Parts: sequence; structure tokens; C-alpha cells
Amino acid sequence: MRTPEISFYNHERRWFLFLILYLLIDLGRVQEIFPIASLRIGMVVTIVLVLFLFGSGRLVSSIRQQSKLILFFVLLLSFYVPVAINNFYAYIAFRTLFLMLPFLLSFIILVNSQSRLLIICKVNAALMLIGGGDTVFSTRGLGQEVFSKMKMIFVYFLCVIFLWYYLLLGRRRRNLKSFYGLRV
Amino acid sequence: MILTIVAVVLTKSRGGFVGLCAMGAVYWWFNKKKIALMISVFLIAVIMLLVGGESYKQDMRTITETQVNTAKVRLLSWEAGWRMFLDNPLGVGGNNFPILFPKYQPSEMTRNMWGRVAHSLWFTLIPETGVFGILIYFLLIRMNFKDLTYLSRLEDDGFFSSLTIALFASFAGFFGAATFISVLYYPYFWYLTIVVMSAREISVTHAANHIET
Repeated sequence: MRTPEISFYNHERRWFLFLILYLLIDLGRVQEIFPIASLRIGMVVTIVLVLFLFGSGRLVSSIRQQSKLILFFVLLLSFYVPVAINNFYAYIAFRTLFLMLPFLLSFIILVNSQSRLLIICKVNAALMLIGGGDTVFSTRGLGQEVFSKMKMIFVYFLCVIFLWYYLLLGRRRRNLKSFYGLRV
Repeated sequence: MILTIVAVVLTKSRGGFVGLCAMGAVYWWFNKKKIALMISVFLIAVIMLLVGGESYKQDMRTITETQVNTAKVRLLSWEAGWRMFLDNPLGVGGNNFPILFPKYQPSEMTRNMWGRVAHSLWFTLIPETGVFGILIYFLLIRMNFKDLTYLSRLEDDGFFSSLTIALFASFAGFFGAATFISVLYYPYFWYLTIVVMSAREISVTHAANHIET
């Protein structure tokens, strides 16, 4: 018989897997690399994250100072929808951030240990390699141009370049210290 | 990392170049081995010139030349954004800068520029979300940096100090590039914010476990 702890652990693990899947879709654009765009996989994963979020009963624990401000910002964008000159464009801006919320809140709840943060980091590193490779190859007419078409991909590169570099470096330093017996 | 830098160069974006420089500056600030870093920067610059070629050099040179057409038009767009904000201090609404642009475009722009984006995160934020948006966004930045300062002061085995430098550099890269492109509604800033939040929480748990043991 499964104990509540094991059940909770499995539940959280599945939730975390969907979080990774969201990253693969949003930043990795897997739906553009493989012919699965018609499955609306991004929408499906977002819905699953919402279900996990409400089903877990831990939504309140994701509400902290910064997340409150993010929610206020989204709320502010929603106020403009009926009053803006172009309501549809205002709605698109609101929808973009609103649809990000399930991922953002799930991340705050789930990424609660160094090991999980490192997993996220490694996923980012892998995505960066794929994206970097695609950009380099597509300028030579070889890649799928998934990333080079997204002109803003370099911003993503800039954001994660040092994130994973330092995390891996920091980890290597610790491993070296452990190896030489310097770490207690 | 080299592959990524090459990819940034290949996009031939001036914003990307500024972002790289900003990240380099943060890296320099935190790094103790400054001579080794100088050699690395030199090698990276050589790679950038080899990959980008003469056209890349020409493009990057225009960053400081405000009379060159694209740079000048960008400055004029920012001026229009500022006037749009003064007229609408509560904001014109998300993605509405391009709609209202013709009303505020300077006389130097002869043809109707309907649909032109601000080409800057700041000049998207200021006119589109007004004083409340500015307040929220800057409060978020302040909190992120407060958390990062807290993390940088932690005495640990290198995890949090490495992460802090990484995040400082990431923010520098993002804001450096974002000053020249409209990325307010792109996910990167929000993603970095949640990484900071999670790191802070993990550090608190880590410290509590450390005390218990």
C-alpha cells in the first residue's frame, strides 16, 4: 500500500516533469523542431500545470513578495484591455503574461532544492547547445532556423550563459574540494 | 559557452553585443583572476571578429554613431515614447505603443510610422504601463537585487556565491540587450526573477538544516 508520503512524492515528481516539459516547449521550441505543433502541446502542458497547481493545495505557498508583484503587473495589464485604443493588442500583452503564470508559480513551489535547481540549469544548458547549434547551422543554410527566426534568442543566451557556467563551475569546485578532502 | 557567443555574434544584433559587454563587465567585477580574464576577453573578441567579419564590425560601430539612420530613428522613437508617457501617465496599454506612435512621432520622421515598436524595454514599459507599471517593475528589480545581495553574503560551499554571480551577470546581459529591444513581454526577466526567488528559499532551508545538524 502506498503511503501518503510516497504518493505526494510521485505527485510532485510528475509535476516537476511537466515543468521541464514546459521549458522544452517555451524555450526549446520542440514543437517547431518536431512535427507536433498541431497537438497544441504548449496549451496541454499549461492546463496540466494549472491542474497540478490547484490540485496540490499549495498555491498559497507560491505567493511571496515578488510573485505578488508579478500578479499585480498581470492585473494591471488586464485593466488596459477594455480601455486601450487597440483592445486586441492589449489583450495579447495580458494573455502572454497570464499564460506564463502557471509555470512561474509551479516553479516557485517545485524548485525547492539545490538538486532541482541544477536540473533546471542543465536543461537550460542543453537547450542553449541546441539553440546555439541551430543558429550557427541555419546561418550556413543547414539548420531548421527555429531559433534564428526568433530574433530574440540571443537574449535568452545572454540570460543563461553565465547561469549554467557558474553553477557547473561552482559544482566542480565543490567536487574538487571533496576530492582533496578539503570539504567537511 | 563559445558556441553560444558565436550564436550571439551571428544574430548580428547590437543589443546582443551590448548585453555581452555588460555580462563581461560583471564577470570582470567579480573575478579575482583579472589577467586570465583579459586573455579570455581578447580570445572572445578574436572569435567574434573571425565569426562576424567586417560587416559585424561595421554594425557594432554604429552603436555610438547617433547620426547613423537606425540609431537616430531609435532615439527619436524613445523621445516619442517619453512624450506618449507625459500625455498618458497611467499608460496606454500593453502593445499599444506602436498604435499611438504616429501621433507622437517627431517631425524628423517624414512618413507615417504606424506599428513601430519602441526598440527598448524601458520605452515600452514607461508609456505602455504608466506610473503603476514602472513602480511594480522597479520594485521587482529592487527585490531581486536585494535577494541577490543577501545570497552573495552567504558563507557556503560555493553554490550560492556562484549562483549569485551568474544571476547578476544574467540580469546585466538581459538589461544591456533589453535597452535596445522590446522584450518587456518576453519570458526571460520573469524566469530570472523566479530563479532568484527559488535560490533565496533554498538558501533559507539550507541554512535551517545546517543549524539543525
